[in-house]
Amino acid sequence: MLKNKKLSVQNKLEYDYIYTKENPISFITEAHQKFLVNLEFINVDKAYKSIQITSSLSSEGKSTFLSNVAYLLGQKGLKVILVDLDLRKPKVHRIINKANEDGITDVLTEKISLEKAIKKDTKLGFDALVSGEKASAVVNLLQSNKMKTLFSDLKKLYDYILVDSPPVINVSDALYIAQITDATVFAISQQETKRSVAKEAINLLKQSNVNLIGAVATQVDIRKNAYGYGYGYGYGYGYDYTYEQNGND
Amino acid sequence: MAMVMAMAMITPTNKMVMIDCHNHILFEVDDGSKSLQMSLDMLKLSASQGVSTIVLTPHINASESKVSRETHFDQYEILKKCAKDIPIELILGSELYIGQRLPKINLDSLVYGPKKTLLIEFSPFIETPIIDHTFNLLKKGYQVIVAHVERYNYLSLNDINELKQMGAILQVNTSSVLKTGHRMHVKKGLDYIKKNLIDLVSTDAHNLLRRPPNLLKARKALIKLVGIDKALSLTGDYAFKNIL
Repeated sequence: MLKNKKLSVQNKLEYDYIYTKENPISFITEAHQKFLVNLEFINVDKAYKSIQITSSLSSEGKSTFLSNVAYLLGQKGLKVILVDLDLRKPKVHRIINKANEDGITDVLTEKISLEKAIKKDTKLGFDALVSGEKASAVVNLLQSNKMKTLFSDLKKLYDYILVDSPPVINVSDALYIAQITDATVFAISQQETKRSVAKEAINLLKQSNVNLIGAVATQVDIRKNAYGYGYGYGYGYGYDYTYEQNGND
Repeated sequence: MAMVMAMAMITPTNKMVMIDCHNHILFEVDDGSKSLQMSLDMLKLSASQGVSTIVLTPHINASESKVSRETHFDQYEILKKCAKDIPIELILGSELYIGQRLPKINLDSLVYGPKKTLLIEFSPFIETPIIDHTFNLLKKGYQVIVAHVERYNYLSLNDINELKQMGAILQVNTSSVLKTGHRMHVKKGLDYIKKNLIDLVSTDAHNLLRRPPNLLKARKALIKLVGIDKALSLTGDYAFKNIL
C-alpha cells in the first residue's frame, strides 16, 4: 500500500504529462478510449456538451483523467476546452504548464475578455481556461449570471467543455457547478477512496438532483486487476467505467 | 580524526565561499537591525566567520515591513558606503510575504542576480497555496527561494518534494540546524536536510544576540550531519553556482 501511495504521488507531480499522448498504444489509453465510446453512447443526442468531473475527496486523479480525455477528444477532431472551476485548488494551469493568470475569475470581473483568456496549445490539441486570480467569494462566482453567460458562450465555440471541479465532501462547489453544466462524472480512486466516503459523496450528488451520468475508477493498480498479463509497467493510471441507469447503483 | 581535520579546514582564513542568502541586516527597515551601527556589527561578525557575500533581504508586504522599497535602496547605499572596509560583498534582495493572493507589487524591483531570484515567505499558521504561488512565479520567469521551509507545518513531505521537483530552491534557517529554534522547526528542518531536499541554509539573522549571524557555526554542525561536501554546498557553494 505504501508503494502504491508513493507511486501515486510521483504521478501527481507530472500534471503536464499526458499519458495517452505519450503512450498511444497502451492499456491505459485503451481504457480512456472506452470511456469516450461510452460517452458517445449515452450522448447520442449531443445533449451533454459541458461535463464536470468531481470526486469525493481531493487527489483522486480528476485533473489527470480529464486532461487525457481532452487530448483524446481533440485527436478525434472535436473542439474541446478544459475549464478549471476548482477555484480553491486549481490544477489546469499545471496541465498546460503555464502560470495561473488571466483566467475565469479575471473574465468574470471583466479584467480580460474570454477570447484573450482562452489558452490554445496546438501540441495538446485542446484549449484551456485556467481559474485565474484567487477569489474569496467562490460560491457567488459559481452562481453568478456572468458564469452562466460564460458557459453559454463556450458552448457556441466548443463541442465539449470539460470542467475540473472540487471534491464533493469538502466543499459544495460541485453542486453549484452541476447547475451550469449538462452532466457530471464521478471519479473514484481505487487506491485512496473508501467505499463509504464514495457512497456519501454520490448520495450528496443525488440529493441535489445532479445529473450523474457515470463514474470512473482512477489510479487503478493494473497488476491487481483483470489485465494482469503482459503489461510490464505495472502501476499507473487506469480507468474503468460504469454508469448507473434509473437511479440504481 | 577525520572530523577534527574537517573542522580545522573551516576557518575564517579559508577561501571557501560562504554566502548568507537570507537575513535582516539592513538597518531600520523592518524587525531586523535597529541601527546602522548594529548592521555594521552584524557584518563584522559575519566577516569574522568567513562570510564572503550577504544578500540583504528586508521584509516586503509583511507586518514587519516599515518602509517603502525606495528606502531599502537608500539604506542599502548608506550601508555599502559605511561598510566599505568590511570584506563582504553586499547585494540587495528582499523577502516577499505572500498571502492567499500574489500581491500587486512590481516583482522585478525585488529580485537580484542573473536569474531574477526572489525569496518568498508565507504564513506558518494560515494555510496558504505555497505550491501554486511558487509554480506561478517560476512560470513568470523568476528563480524562487522558499524561505525557512521547515516552518510550514501544513506542508507535507510530498508537498516539499513537489516544490523541489518543480524547481524551487528550498532554504532552512541556521536556528533549525543549531537546534535553537522551535522544536518542530528543528525536527522538520533536520529531516529535510537529511533527505537531501534542502539547497540553502541561511541565518535569517535579525540582531546580534537572539538571532545573530551564525553561518559558520551552522556549517560546522552541518559537516557532522551531512558531511563536508553537502555542508559547503548548503552554506555557500550552491548559492555561488546557481544564484549569484
